[in-house]
Parts: sequence; structure tokens; C-alpha cells
Amino acid sequence: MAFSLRIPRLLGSSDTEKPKPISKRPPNTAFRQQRLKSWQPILTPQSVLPLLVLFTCIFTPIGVGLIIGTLHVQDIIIDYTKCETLANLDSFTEIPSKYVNYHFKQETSIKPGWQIQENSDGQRSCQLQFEIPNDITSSVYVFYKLTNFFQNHRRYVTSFDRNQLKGKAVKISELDESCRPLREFGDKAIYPCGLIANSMFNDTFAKSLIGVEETTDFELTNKGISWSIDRSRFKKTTYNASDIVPPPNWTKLYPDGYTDENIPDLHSWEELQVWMRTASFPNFYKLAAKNETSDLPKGQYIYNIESNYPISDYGGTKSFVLSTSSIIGGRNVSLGVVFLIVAGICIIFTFIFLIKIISQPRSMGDQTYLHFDVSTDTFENEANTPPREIL
Amino acid sequence: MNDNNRHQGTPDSTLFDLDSIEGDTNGGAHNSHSDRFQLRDADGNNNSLFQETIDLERDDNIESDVRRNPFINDSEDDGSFELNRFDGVENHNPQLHQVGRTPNIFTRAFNRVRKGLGRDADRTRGNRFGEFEMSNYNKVSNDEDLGDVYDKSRNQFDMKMLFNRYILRKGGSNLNNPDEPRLIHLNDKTANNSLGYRNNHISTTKYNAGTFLPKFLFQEFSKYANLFFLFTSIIQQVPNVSPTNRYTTIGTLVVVLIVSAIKESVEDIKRANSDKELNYSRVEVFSEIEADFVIKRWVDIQVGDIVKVKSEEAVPADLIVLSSSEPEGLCYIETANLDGETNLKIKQSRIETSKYIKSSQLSQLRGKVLSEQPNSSLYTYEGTMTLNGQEIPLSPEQMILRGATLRNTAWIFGIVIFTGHETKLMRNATATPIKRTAVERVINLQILALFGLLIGLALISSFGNVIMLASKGNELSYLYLEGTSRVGLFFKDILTYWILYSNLVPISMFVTVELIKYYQAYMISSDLDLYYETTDTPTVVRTSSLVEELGQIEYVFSDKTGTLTRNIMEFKSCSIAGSCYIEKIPEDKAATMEDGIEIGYRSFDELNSRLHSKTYEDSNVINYFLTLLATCHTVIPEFQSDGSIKYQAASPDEGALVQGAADLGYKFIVRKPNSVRVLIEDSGEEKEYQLLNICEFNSTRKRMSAIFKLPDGSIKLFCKGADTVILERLDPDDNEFVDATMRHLEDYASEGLRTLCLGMRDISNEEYEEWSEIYNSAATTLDDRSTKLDEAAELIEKNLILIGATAIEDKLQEDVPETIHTLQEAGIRIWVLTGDRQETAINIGMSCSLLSEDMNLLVINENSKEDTRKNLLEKIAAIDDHQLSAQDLSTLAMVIDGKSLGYALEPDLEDYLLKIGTLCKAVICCRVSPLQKALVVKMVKRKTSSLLLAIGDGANDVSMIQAAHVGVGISGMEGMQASRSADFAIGQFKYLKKLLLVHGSWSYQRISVAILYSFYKNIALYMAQFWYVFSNAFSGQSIIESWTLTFYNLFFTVLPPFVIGVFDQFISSRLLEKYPQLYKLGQKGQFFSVPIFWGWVANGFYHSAVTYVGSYLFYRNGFALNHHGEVADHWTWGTSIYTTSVLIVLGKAALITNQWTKFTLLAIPGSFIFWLVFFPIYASIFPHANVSTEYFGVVTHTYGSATFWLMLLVLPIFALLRDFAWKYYRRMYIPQAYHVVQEMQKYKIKDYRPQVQHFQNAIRKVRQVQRIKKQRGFAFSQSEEGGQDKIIRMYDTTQRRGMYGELHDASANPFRDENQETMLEHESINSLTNNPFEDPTNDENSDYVNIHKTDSFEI
Repeated sequence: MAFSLRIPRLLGSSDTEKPKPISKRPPNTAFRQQRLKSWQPILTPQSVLPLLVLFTCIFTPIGVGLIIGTLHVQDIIIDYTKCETLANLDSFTEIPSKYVNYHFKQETSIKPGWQIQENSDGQRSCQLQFEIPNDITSSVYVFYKLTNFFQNHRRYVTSFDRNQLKGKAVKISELDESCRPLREFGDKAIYPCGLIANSMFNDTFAKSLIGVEETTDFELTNKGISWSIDRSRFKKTTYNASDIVPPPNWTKLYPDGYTDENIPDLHSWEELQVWMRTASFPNFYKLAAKNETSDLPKGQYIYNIESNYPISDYGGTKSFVLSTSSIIGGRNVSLGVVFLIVAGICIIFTFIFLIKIISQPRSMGDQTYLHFDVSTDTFENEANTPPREIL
Repeated sequence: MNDNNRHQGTPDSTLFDLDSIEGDTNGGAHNSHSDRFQLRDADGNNNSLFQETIDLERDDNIESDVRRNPFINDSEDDGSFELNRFDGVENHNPQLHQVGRTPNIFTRAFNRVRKGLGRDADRTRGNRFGEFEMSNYNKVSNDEDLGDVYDKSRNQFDMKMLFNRYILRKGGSNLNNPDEPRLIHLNDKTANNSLGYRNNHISTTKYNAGTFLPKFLFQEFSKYANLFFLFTSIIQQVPNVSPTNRYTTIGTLVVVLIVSAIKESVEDIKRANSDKELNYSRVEVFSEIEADFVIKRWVDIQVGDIVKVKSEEAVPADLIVLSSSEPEGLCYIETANLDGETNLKIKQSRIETSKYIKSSQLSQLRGKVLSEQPNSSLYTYEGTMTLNGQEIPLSPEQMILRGATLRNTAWIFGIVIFTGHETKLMRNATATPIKRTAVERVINLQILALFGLLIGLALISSFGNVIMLASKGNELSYLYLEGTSRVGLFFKDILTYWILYSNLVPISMFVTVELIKYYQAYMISSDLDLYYETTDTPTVVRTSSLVEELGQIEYVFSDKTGTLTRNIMEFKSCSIAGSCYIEKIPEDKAATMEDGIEIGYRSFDELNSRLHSKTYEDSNVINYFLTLLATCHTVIPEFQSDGSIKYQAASPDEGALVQGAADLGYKFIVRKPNSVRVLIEDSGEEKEYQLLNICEFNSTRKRMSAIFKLPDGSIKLFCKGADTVILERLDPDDNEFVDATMRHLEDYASEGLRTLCLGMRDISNEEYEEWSEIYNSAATTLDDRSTKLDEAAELIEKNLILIGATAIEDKLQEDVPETIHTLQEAGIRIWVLTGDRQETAINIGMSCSLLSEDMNLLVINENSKEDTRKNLLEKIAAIDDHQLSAQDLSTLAMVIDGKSLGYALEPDLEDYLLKIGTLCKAVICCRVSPLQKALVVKMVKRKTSSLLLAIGDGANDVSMIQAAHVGVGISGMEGMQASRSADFAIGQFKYLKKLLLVHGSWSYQRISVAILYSFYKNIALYMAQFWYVFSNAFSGQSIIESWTLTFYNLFFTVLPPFVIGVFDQFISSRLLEKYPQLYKLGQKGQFFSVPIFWGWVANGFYHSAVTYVGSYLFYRNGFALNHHGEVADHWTWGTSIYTTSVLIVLGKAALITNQWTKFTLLAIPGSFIFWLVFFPIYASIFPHANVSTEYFGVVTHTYGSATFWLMLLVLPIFALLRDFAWKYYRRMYIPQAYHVVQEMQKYKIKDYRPQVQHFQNAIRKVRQVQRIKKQRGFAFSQSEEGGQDKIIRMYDTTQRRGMYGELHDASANPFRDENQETMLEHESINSLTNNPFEDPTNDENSDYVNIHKTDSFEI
């Protein structure tokens, strides 16, 4: 068959017979003809009302659960910014209540107090005394909370050198530009360079809660307070001590600069690692210590904080926070409340729409709503009147 | 104007120079016109319009330029080619020579004067043509050839040109001083080559390899948005300013530009290919070496070449006709492509050259042509040919322009004068204007507004920073900010925030929208419903950026011929002796007698049997009727190679009538100068009718008569004409068929058929003798001859007997009436712009249901501006007085003719015109020139904010197509000029319905949603950045890692707008077509407007606020993770915000999607899943490569926290609850028509309302009967130029064509046919069955036939 078809073509003059042009006919496929299988969702009462009810049903228990969950979080927050000015030396006084905020399962009997203690070196520290009215099961975390400190400032966020932190001996000229103005000092590199490290929170938080009277001390640890990835990322530096100087704010810690012995080991300095994780808001918690292994028995405790950080110069406050944790972190009911709000809105809409449906029913595809045939109405009226000659 | 110079010479001689006619008669007035007609186009450039557009004193057709009698013999023959045809009686028609007193002496004298003054005269002209250019380009300098603006603009980036001009100091056309005439040597290729004329290459592409980059970049960066992003990315390179990675913006911009570049080049390659197709068309060119014609490509044609163009072929360049196959170098051309006129035009070579009919003779041509320089005037030409030492003046009569098609002429020889871009057609072409859509215009404005918003936000943030620093600067000591100057900081901040907020203007939107449009264009061209099977033409979208305009059209400006009609006339029906005959009787319409009146149709078969019936009393009337049709006309029969007869008619109507008669058995076979011969097929009998006199047709007479001596010796006058004129001249006593015929005429008219009444009269010998003296003396009068002839005709055309009427159908394109009706229902006003005369136009209006019988026609047909003003004001007053209801308004229709239109378009009247025009449901403009079409479109465009669509098929529609917002071309059989310059090319007018109602509505809705959504989604995410500045000391820190931000627009939210833009169908195509009223959604801009836009922007702000505030509350203090007390850092929180935003934005996309296909699933949930999967992979790999190092360790802290997942659940629902409830509320309680139709579609609800259609039709019918019909069409589209007599007398179709296919002039020897009577007697019978061309001796002839067949092509 194919052969017989071909013969005339071979015989035919090639001049007169053009090759058969390819048809430009578009293919008849669902895709090209825009006939794809599809689903057409329409917001009808039958689908909208059940959906709203469903939302309500889901969101209410979640919201309630979350609120209950967060309310179980027990914490005590003591703003000790004013400790040095308000507290007495060597005698506990009651902390003004505006500086204290706590939530426990049981009422406390004693208000928290503070005092200033001076050690033999003349080093002053702030001691906070507070009561834990009930046993708190593990885990217990101790944070410091800063307010009005802009770790999220654009200049601040990037002001560090990644390679320096990783332990590399980065040359001055190769240090990250964003470390300026704390990049180098004379011909020595600042280590760690940048604004973040320089402004590191340097109050010393004690490693234990000291039990008052018969209460036993409660040990805390500062190991594992940083993100594990940072512990592996930050390395001891390979700089020579003579090539580097500490940041200007660290002079208290390193009054004579670095020597080969006192070069900080960033790998194990978790406080720095925690600090280097910049916070997103000007008020933030940072983990200082924790105990995830044992329960905190009830009783009175004293916590010792060496207060160095000049937060009042920055217009902010610093607080000691002791808290347990829930599935969504600290004592923050916002999430649960928002869930309940959404559930509430849904149920309100459900009722409004239900009333509307009853008072003002409308069937789907009601052609009386097709307004566009106005002309036909007038047409019928006009049909009876004789056509008017206007011109 | 050098009026004085131009007054040289007699009126006759000035006919060669129409410029001077204008100058003489009303040059002053025109100047003021052209000043006043400075129009502004959308780009704000002055468009000085072609002066001819307003030159209303003159008829704008080529033919009108042929004022000289084309049939005169110039008798300046040098005798070297004395051929046989000059033997015998030289001039049998004395009046021919009296009229034809050649003005050659004057002409030459005039030309000499002109040459002497040539510098000034041509300069003036050059300037004027410069003004005429309808181009947007700036004029470069007055010293250069101003007609060249188009080329200049086109070449301004052409590297080769620039190189030549500035480096090699070699000018392209500099060799030709524009003030001097162009010199062309005959048959001297080398001499012509040295003159450096351009070749015949044409190019309509935008770019070439060298110009692509500069031109493309220039074009892209002239868009505000791209410039904005370029600027943004430059700012980003400044150190310490950018809050985000410095390469993010420039990276995106490069991607966007590359995508656009690919799209542009693909479209330009398409253009280049169609140019190539045209450039490589074949034509026969005379070669001096071979002394014969060789086949060459069009592109190889050079100035001075002699080309041979054959019947039905397109003319490749501007030619001067040397000779043709027809007598006296006559040829017929069709110029529909140039000016839209469909009747054939006659061109004639100079008598001196018309004898060069053999290719061997051509090489003897020696001499030169002095021609005017290329210009854009279609209707003027002047030049001189020096041939063998003899000077021959050349006029427009010899000029055939590129774009014309040769008709009814076997071949012509022509010498090429202008080529390529120098041809008048191309000089009239305007560079394709860049069209912006209404939506784009709104967007551009809104982008400016958004830009203002951006600046505002940046200012707020910057002020915040400065205030922060001033008041609390000492508290920020850890930031080491001291030493920064506040002013400097302020300005640096502005730049920072500029970058941070730059995404308020969605960078990806433009490329997304372009892709959507490109894809929609692809879908439109894929639509099988828009595919024309017969010619294998799918719809082609040339300007994909205009697709959404299709959904908002309010006015359609349509060409008539070729667009609405097929330009095929068909003999449809006839009324003879009170009975109506038709080929096929429609159902229930068979003839019946009612109250003694015959109603309905009889078949043609019955006609035939009645003709031969002995019993039927009126059989002789039928005989006369058919005889009249077969004899009284100007048609020339030509035998085809297959033995059939082709009737060559200047008017398609006449052709249809003669063909109709032939179909009914009266076959017109031979035309001789003094007789016609008709073959009566049934009896096989041939009858010869002596043609005594012809009273020509013209527009005042509206009739044509011929006086014949019948074979039986009686003299009869046959007359056909418009019903009104025939009825006036009937014998008041002896006419029994008047009433019945009138009834039939009304039926025909209501069906939109073109009608003619036929009358006849017996003339006694004495009366004829008497009259013929009067006639002859009239014919020989010198002054006012035509009036005298008309008066003479009036004397004999009286006391006619009405024998019947004919009805010709100007065949409409398929489904035209339905389409027009649907479009009108969709609220689209249709204006038909046609070159036809008023009656014809109204007729077509009726037949295509644009007009109906119950409509009030406002006819404006005035001869002066004052009358036009008065008329317009009267009509407006009348409309105002009557306080018309909406229903009355929909019955108004305006008909305006070209002349009145010209006046009405003047600035002081156009408001009145527009007022009436917008009130009317339909407007018909008749007798309009191509440029008037554009003027009308531009006027409406300027005066209203509506979107206009112009549709046409010929080159005469190009200016209109380009002027309108959307141009649609019909890729018809003839010429692709219109479809190539149009934005959309469709195969049939009927496709306009689906194109507008379905694709237009879809596109408009899709694009609107895609654009709004693109703005929304960016605001919804990026505005969180603004809220954040209040928390970060106004430093401009970004919440989200910068590459992730960039990916937002590149990956995670790019698909939903694209899928909505491509696949969403808010209503199915079937229902969109069923309810054309839904189209009004687009017209009213219900999917995209400034309030809607800002509504979406506000929604974006709302959603961003919900996200930001929510996340702030949840991540307060950072202790939001259940992760061993570890707190969330900046990026953990940033990622949560980002994820939530993506989910909200995708949820919004899900809400606005009307139809979910598999692609929607891929786009909306798919994008989200993609992000969820992408993020951990990206964030755990890339930080190790020092990219996005912020993400070290973030994944576990984000995904590992319940806060993150719970936030992801609650915030999107919170944010979208408003949208969801509002959407539902709107559907339920303030439903739009489309909501209801959507429901009908979803639940498959049938429309229960009664079909009003039938009812309406019934009413219409009743009214139709009540109405007295005032307007009736009649079928004459013949040229008014006269000379019909001469054409008839010149042909003798019994003569064989010569060996070169030429036909000799029969008028040279009018009596020869009688000498050869006996010889031809049997031969003519043979010729009915045999092809006269198949004469074995006639080898060359058959060759031509073959070549013609194989090489036919279409442009």
C-alpha cells in the first residue's frame, strides 16, 4: 500500500509537486484545548458553615490545651538592674514588687529579697533570695533576660568574623568588614572581633542555687546551654597571643590583654556561644544555666550574680529568670489565646451566616440574579407601543 | 507652496501632478487643516497625519488619479514597430480622438519648468511628505530626505549603517541628491548598480544580531520597574547600605531580563521568517544576457529591472508598466491591499512602450527614466522616460505599486522604479507601534504610587532611625555609632530602606505576567475552535502582551470587504414577471397564492420549464430578462484552459449577473466591438445581438442601458438600475408586474440582498434614428459631454416595461450575523468602515444583522462643513428632545459617508460626531479612505477611555489596525499585509466571538488576578520588614535571610500566579459564549481597577501585620522552643515568619482559584511542600559553603518546635478568615452575574427562563412589515470613471491571443470581425469545448500557463 502510494510521487514532476505542507492544525488534547479535568470549588452555605464549625472544633481544644499547658509553666523573674543601688550590703531587703514576677503552683509565703555582698577582692555581687513554694520537676532553666538591648540591629547582627570564631588565625586585612569599628587595634586583630563579642553579657551567674536553712543546694550547669551546632562550630583559636587583643569591653576580664595562657577557648565557652546567637527582639532571654536531671525541691534559695554588665547605660534592664518549660517554651499564653480567638471568630461567623441563611435565603444558580437582561423587559413593554419616528 | 510655479501649464497638464491641483484649489485651507490635525498618540508624540486623510475635495482612490482618458492613442509612434493592428481604419470613434488630444506638449513644457524650479518644488513636497509620516520617530533634520524617517528610525541602531556612515564615511543613499530626480537606465544593470539604489529586501524585524543588545536593553530599561530594580541593585553594591545580600536583586533582574530576551528573540525570529518568505518569493526578471526572463527572488530585484508579473500575482515593487497582454497596454489591478477598494482599477502603459510585447524586443529598449524620489504619496507620480531619444512623460496611470495584484490580465512587463523600503507601500508603513494595555497603564501608575508609598515608608523608617539616634544614641553605645553624621545617616538609611522595601514592586511580576501572556497566546493559537480548516490557518497571536485587552473591548471597528463579506457576489434570486425564483426554496416558502397574490419562491428549474412552456404566458418576459442579463453589461468573457468561461468584470456584481444568466442557460460567450453573442444552452442556438449604443453607468444615473438590435431585427433598450430610478421611468400604463416586483424587492432588501430592477423597451427604427442623432451630437460635444450624454440617455430611457428584479448576495463570511449579534449583546459597539457606497453599506449592514429594519437610521450625507454641522446638531437636538429610553437608543444607527465624515472629524465637530456615535448601537461609515479609518479610530481613542479593536484584512486596514488598541487581521486569501501588522491574526470574522468572549474574558480575569496577586504576595511578606523596624531600632535589619527572600519570588510563590494566569477559568467557555453579557465585566473593569488594586494592597498589609504581630507574640523573648531551654535566635524566628507568610499567600491563592486542575495542585500545595522540603536541605548544606551562613543549626530549632507548627496552623487561618468570610458573603448576598453563572456551571442548572430570542424575532418581523422601507441597496460597484463604452469597444474575444498571450486592440479594426464572420462561426463553437490555448502551434502560451500554475504564491 505504501509502495503504491509512493509511485505517483516519484513519477510526478518535482517542480509542480510541493512536499505536502505540515498541517498547522493544533492538536486536540485536553491540555491544549483547555479542557483539563478540574474541580470547581464554590463557597456555598453547604461547604462554608461546616468548615467554620470544623475550625471551631479543632481550634478550641488546641487553644484550651495550650493555655493549660503554658499555665503549668512555673517561673520567677527578678529584675536585678537596680540591685546595686537599692539593695543593702549584707542584709536581704524585700525587692520592690515591680521588679519581681513569679508563677508557682502554690502561694509563696516569703517575698523575694536581695542584698549586695562584697567578697575579699572587693568584688561585689548581687544575691537574690526567693522561695520556691512547691517542688518543681525537672527541668529547670536559668536565663538572663535583657530588655531594650538591640541585638537585632542591622550593624550588630553581622558584626563578627565567622572564620575567627572557627579558630582560624585570620589576618587583620581579611577580617570581616562588618566587624568595624572593632576589627583591629593598632596592628593587632581584635579577637573575637565585632560588636557582638564586645558587648557580651558578662554578669556571672552562679552555678548553683544555695539553699537557705534546711533546703539543700540545687546544682546547675552551664554545660550544654548553647546550641550543639555552635559547640562544634566554635573552635579554640590558632592565633598567637601577641597578634591579638581582646575587645575593648573585655578589659575587666583581660586587664593585660591576652597571653598564651589566657586566650579564651571559644569551643568550651558556651556563654559566648549563647551570646553570639543574636536575638530577634530587643527583649530577650538567654540561657545561663540549667538542671535537666533533678527536680527542684521546694524551699528558699539564694542566687548569686556578679553584676558587671552596664545595662542601665543602654537604657535597659537585666533580669534573672528561673523557669520550667512547656511544649511551646516559656509561660506565654498568646498562642493559646490566638487559637481561641480564631475559634471564636469562626463560631461568630457561623451564627451570623446561619441567621442570614434563614432570614435571607438564596438558592444556588438563581437566575433572577442575572441582571443583564434588562433590555428584554423594556422590550416587551415597548413592543405594544408603536415605534416612534424620531428623525 | 509655490502656487505660482504650479499654475504654469494648462489645467490638463496639471493633471499629472495632483499636488499642484491641491495647491491650486485649496492649498491654503489644507495647510491649516494639517496644522489643526496634529494628533497626539498614546506616547504623547505629535502625529502629523497624512494630509490626504483630510483632503476631502479629492477622491482617495488610485483611479481618480487617472483623469486622462486611458484609451487615447498618443500617436507619437516612431513607427519602428508598426504592427498589424494599426492597419485598416485607424480611428473609428471620432470622439476618442477629440477627447484624447494629448497634452504632451504642455506636459513636457510643464515638466521643464518644474525641473528648472525643481529644487524648490521638491523641497516643499519633501517637507510635506515628512509631515505625512505617521511615525512616532523624531525627525532627524530638515536637510535630509524627510521621507526617510521610517528608515532612519529603523536604522538608528543598525551597527552596519552606523559603521558605514561614521567610519567609512559612506552613505547609503547619499549618492542620490534628494532634490534631483532619480535616474534609472533601461537595460543597463551596471549603470544602475553604480547609482547605489537599495535592493528589494524588506525587513519588519525589530532587531538584528548587532542591534539586539542595545535595543533590547534600551527597551527593557525604559520600563520604570526595570529601571527601578537596576537602580536598586546598584545601591545594593554600596557597602554597608544593603540589609540583604548585594547580589539578590541583580541576580533576579538578570534572570528576568534573560527570560524577556528569549521571548523577544523568539518573536523576532518569527517576524524574520515571514519577511524571508516574502523576500524569497519568485518573480520573472528580464535578463539582458539571456535576452529572456529568468526566475529570481523578490529580494534580488533591482531598480531598473524589467519584471514580468502574471495574472493573480502580487506586484513585487513599484513598477512602470511597459506593456501588457491586453490591448493598448491596458491592465487591471486590484488595490484592496493598498486602499481597500475592491473594484478593479485600470492602468495603462504609454502607447510608445505598449508594443514591446516580446521578450526579444525588450532588450532593444534603450534609454533612461527620470523619476521622482521615493515618497509616500500613493496617488501621485511623475517621471519622464527617454526611450530611443523620445521623451515620454510618466504619470500615476503607468505606476503600479507594490501590494497591488494583477487581475484579468495575462501578464505585464514593468520596469522597477522603487524597491524594498522605498516603495510607496513600505513608505506608508509605520513602524509597529508599541501598544500598552489598559491594565499595564493602570499598573504603571500604581507602581508610581507604590513607589511613593515605598519612599514614604523609607522616610518614616529613616526619620525613626535619626530620632532614635538623637534621643537614645547614648544608650546604643555598644553599637559604636558615634561619629556618624545624622544627615548622612538619614540619606544612607533611605537607600537601605529602599532596598529593604524594594519588593513592594514585585520584580518577578513582570516576567510572570509576560510568561502568562505568552502562554495564553499559545493557548489561543492552540484553540481548535479558532482554527480555520479550509486554509489551514490557526489563530496567530503576534502581540502576546495584548491578550487581556481582548476582554475589555467596547468598540469594534470593522472593515467590510473580506472581513464581513467574502467579496463574492452570487446571483441569489430573481423576480420575473411577478414570480420569484430562487435556486433552493427555503422551508415553508414555496409559492402559494394568498388573496390573489403570489407569495413565496419558485425554483430555478421551474423558471426554466416556464421559459420553454407554450402555455405560460410570460415566457417571453423570462426570455427577455435572461437576454438582458446576458447582454447589457461591460463584462469580458475569457476562455480558461479547461474550456470554461471566466467573466472578467470590473464590478463583481455584474460578473455575478452574467454568471447567473449563464447558469440559467443564457451563456454570454463572445464580445466584439459591435456585438455580443449569447449561447442559449438548451437549444444550442447562438444569438448575436448588435450593440448600438451604451448609456453608461454613473452614480447620478444609477442605471445602465444598452440598445441592441436583436437577431429578429427589432431594436430594444435594455436597462438595469436602482429600483428608484427604474420606477420613475416606467410606462405608467403598461406595467403589470410593478406591485409584485416591489414586494419581492422589499423581501430581498430585508434579507440584505443587493437588488437591481430590470426594464426594457421596444424602440422603433424611426425613434432610434432620431435619437441616435441626438446621442451622436452629444457624444461629440467638447464641453460638458457627460452631462449631454446623460441628457440624451434620459430621452430614450422612458416608458420602460418592468420585467423583473435581481437579487445578488454579497456573500458574508461564515456566521457573521450571529457573531455581530452576539458581540452587540456583549455590549460592544460595532462601527463598520467601508469604502463602499452608502446603499451597499446599509445593505450589508442589514444582511449581517448590524442594522435591522426596526432601527432608526441617522444618515449624514452632506457636501459642506456647514451642512454637516447643521445636520449633526439637528440630530443631537432631536435625540435630546425625545428623551430616549435605553430601548430607543439601542435602535439608533448612524450612517455617515466619507465626505461628511471628513468634516465631522474636524476638531470643532468631532465631539458632536462622537456623541451621536456613542449613542448609536451601530455606526456605518461608507466611502472612507484608509487613512480616514485610522482617523476615526484615533478620534474615538482620544475622546473616550474605551478600548478599541480594529479588524480588517487588507493593507488598507493597516493604519486602522495599528491605531486601535487591539488590531486583528484576517489572514485571508489575499495578502497578509493586515494580518502581519495586526496583533492577532484570525482566519474568520466569526472567531472574533470566541476570541473576545472567551479568551478575552479569561485573559483579562486571569491577568488581573495574577497581577493583583503578585502585588499582594510581595506586600504580605515584605511588609513584615516594615513592622519590624520598630523593633530593631530602625536599623533596617531584615527578618529573613536574603537568598530565602529572593527565592520567595523565584520559587515558592511563582507558580500560583502562573497557574492561575494560565489555567484558571472563572466560567467555562461554553457559558461565556452563552451569556455574552458576562463580557461587560471586562468592559466595566470589574476585575482590575484602582480601588481593587489598593484593596489587595491593603489586604497584603493586613496579612503581613497578622503574621508579624502573631509571630512577635509567640516568639516573645525568644523562649518559645521546647529544646533544652535553648532560645530561638533571629533566624529561627525569621524562618517561621517566612513559612507562615508563604502558607498565607498560598492559601490566598487557593481561595482565588476558580478551577483546580492537577497543575493547581502542583502549584499551590506543591509550592508549600517544596518549601518545607527545600528549607532543611538548603539550610543544612549551603551554610557549609559559606552561603546563607545564618542558617547554621536553624533547621532543628525551627522544625523541632511546636510553636512553629502551631503558628503555621493558626495564623494563616486567622489571616484568611476575613477573605474567606467576605468571599462567601459577597457570593451569597451581593452576587454578581458571574457568581450565578458559576453556580449554574457547577450544579449544571439549566436556564429556565423562556428563550426571548424567538419572541424578539417575531416582533421584529411585524415591525418590518409596518415599516416603509426607505433604504434599498442596489448592485453596482462599478467605477464611476466612465470609459465603459470604450472598454467594450476595444475587446474582440473571438480574436486569439498572440503568441505572447497578448490581445490586440479591436477598436483599431472594428469591422474585421464581420470580414471573418464565416471563419469564426464554427471556431467559436469549437471554443466552447476546446481550449483555444491548446493550439499546438502555441507552445509558448501553454508554457506560460504552466509557469503560472507552479509559481503562484501568496504574500
